Amino acid sequence: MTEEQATEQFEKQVRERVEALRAIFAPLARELKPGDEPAPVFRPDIYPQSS
Amino acid sequence: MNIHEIEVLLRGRKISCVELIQQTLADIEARDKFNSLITITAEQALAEAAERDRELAVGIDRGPLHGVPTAHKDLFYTRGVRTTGGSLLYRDFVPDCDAAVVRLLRNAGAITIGKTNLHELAYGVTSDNPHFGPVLNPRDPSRVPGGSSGGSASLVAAGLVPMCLGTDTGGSIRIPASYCGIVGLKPTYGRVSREGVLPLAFTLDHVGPLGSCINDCALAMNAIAEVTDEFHLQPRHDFRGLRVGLPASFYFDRVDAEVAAAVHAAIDAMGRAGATIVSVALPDMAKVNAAALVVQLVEAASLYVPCADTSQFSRNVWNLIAQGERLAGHEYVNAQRLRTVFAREFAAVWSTVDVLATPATPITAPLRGEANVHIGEEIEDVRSASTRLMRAMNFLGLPALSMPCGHASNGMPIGLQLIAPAFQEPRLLQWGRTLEPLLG
Repeated sequence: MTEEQATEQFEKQVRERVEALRAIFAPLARELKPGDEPAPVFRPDIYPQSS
Repeated sequence: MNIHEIEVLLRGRKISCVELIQQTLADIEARDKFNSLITITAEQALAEAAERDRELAVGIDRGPLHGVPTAHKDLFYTRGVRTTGGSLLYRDFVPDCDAAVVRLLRNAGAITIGKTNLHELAYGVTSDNPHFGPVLNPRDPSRVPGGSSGGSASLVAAGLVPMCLGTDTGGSIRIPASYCGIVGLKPTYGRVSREGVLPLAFTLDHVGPLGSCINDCALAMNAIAEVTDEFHLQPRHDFRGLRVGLPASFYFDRVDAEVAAAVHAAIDAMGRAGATIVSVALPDMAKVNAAALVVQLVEAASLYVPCADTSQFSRNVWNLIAQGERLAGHEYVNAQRLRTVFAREFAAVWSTVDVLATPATPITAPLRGEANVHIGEEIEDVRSASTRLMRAMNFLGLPALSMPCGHASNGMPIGLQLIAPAFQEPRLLQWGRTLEPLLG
């Protein structure tokens, strides 16, 4: 397999996997309502502290 | 030896901390055929052990972890000791500070003997690391230990240390615990600090212990949790008053028959000991997994796409990063919005049950090099099969415990997963402790 073919195969695999995920995910996103907002999941512990 | 057994030897002056560390290092040299460690910090460990001995001699006792050997997944910053992340990107990275949890464990008296091997960048489930060599499963070296905390799990499963630190973004503590037949706890999101830990996906990453038994994980949590000293397990023998939820869907679909039988047997044991077993309907967990995967792919891509130099990554890891790169900003935000929706739906579960019991993984440890596994009549890729029953709890941030509950006919351990409401780790570990002797 040439490098070009390998790259093409890689890209195809990535594209197919993303599309497979979108097939499940996109209908869910369409059902979201205006009040459905991201929760504040970040906490102070993720920020590096001076020590 | 578990931590309690070590504690008895040290407090009884049957062995010194230095002798224990010398013995541990000799055992690793002689018996670690599993490539569990990337770096061994022998000199530093012996110096710390000598200091712990001096403390005991003058009556300073830091508690149950005093003098106990441990190791950290090579994702945790260790001052003056390289932290590779299992990656070429960080192969020469020497932090100038310790991760918060490394500091906390040292303050509790634990002695770091090294840094454990892992899946490259903690982004995978086999710990077949192309840069530092594959980790092997001590129960059967022809099989993977699981990942990404594979080296931590193999070191504990081989009996070389009683407890190690790991991280869990989509199952990376619980999968290797299940495949290696040890205990692994993914705490509630935010319960344990991630300061000084190489990230993979900011809002899904969790730090937790892998131990030889439930009590080892509890003792580790006492040292590393944001609210410490809560994890004192009692010798309870029954589950009276406990409502155990048996998921009516998803968690027992596409599960190996022997795995399902062992998990059901464990749940039956809880029932015989007084628990009420309740069939419970859950949100569509396949949908939860899909949204969680969008978040993981995009967050990981945000870290590594800017690196641009693909030669620094294995093909499999770059494939995942490339997937994240192709997802759009609106898709990421909507996945985070769905997180709120699913968390709200899932919260209703806790009005009817106290804990959920599920298989940890639908299979036992796959063979090395195996890309797909057979589950009944179906074929599934190893990554999907390993993470399928795990990923949702990273998204929802709920604590989940993997503990051994038997063996399959191939001799490999089977894992039971117990899931609890947020910040209920002390109760979760207590239930595990009560169940442990009932499972033999």
